[in-house]
Amino acid sequence: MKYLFHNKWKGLSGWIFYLSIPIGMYLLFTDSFEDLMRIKVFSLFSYEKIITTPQTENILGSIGFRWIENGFLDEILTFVIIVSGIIHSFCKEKVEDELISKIRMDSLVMSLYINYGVLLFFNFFVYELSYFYVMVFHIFTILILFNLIFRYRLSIHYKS
Amino acid sequence: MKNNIRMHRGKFNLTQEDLSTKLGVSRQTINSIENNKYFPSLELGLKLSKILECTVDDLFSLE
Repeated sequence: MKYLFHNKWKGLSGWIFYLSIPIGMYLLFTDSFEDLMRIKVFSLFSYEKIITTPQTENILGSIGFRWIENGFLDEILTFVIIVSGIIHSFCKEKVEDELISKIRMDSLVMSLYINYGVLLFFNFFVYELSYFYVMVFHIFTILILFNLIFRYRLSIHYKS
Repeated sequence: MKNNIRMHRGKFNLTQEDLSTKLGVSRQTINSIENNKYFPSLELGLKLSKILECTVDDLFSLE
């Protein structure tokens, strides 16, 4: 299969991936992201709060192309989780043959179906800001699901 | 689809490990093919027939 990473990256990327997920979840649930690493970042698009002054009616602040102050740790963690997750998911096995490729492909299809199945379920039962959290989780769940399914099926294959 | 790989492999006294090394696949893949859990690609089938000195028809047949 083309477009796979070298096997030597599998271990390191796996450690980073599986360590950064609980760190990210802890910081998300303790609401710490906004307080850590606050720096000025350039925003292409972001709403500001509605500003009300005696002179003006309610106006919406600038919506893009401006510098804003933001907790930058969530962006870094998102980058680390996605990059390490992709590298770990798509590293070659020591002996990469066509059966491994088939297992990888089947696992990817299965994880995609489950991921979007769960998303469709939440689409009808989770609303308002909670739905935003569902969407955030779904950025990562496809990688996690794929890894779980692929590694489980590989372990069965290697035991045969 | 059934196959006679195990029989042809026996003629050359090749283990699954030996055959997998010659083919560049894992031993488990040879095991899966022999037990009809996985049907190899045409390329792998042709390589198998070359190593085992027979035709693809000798190795694989429709049930």
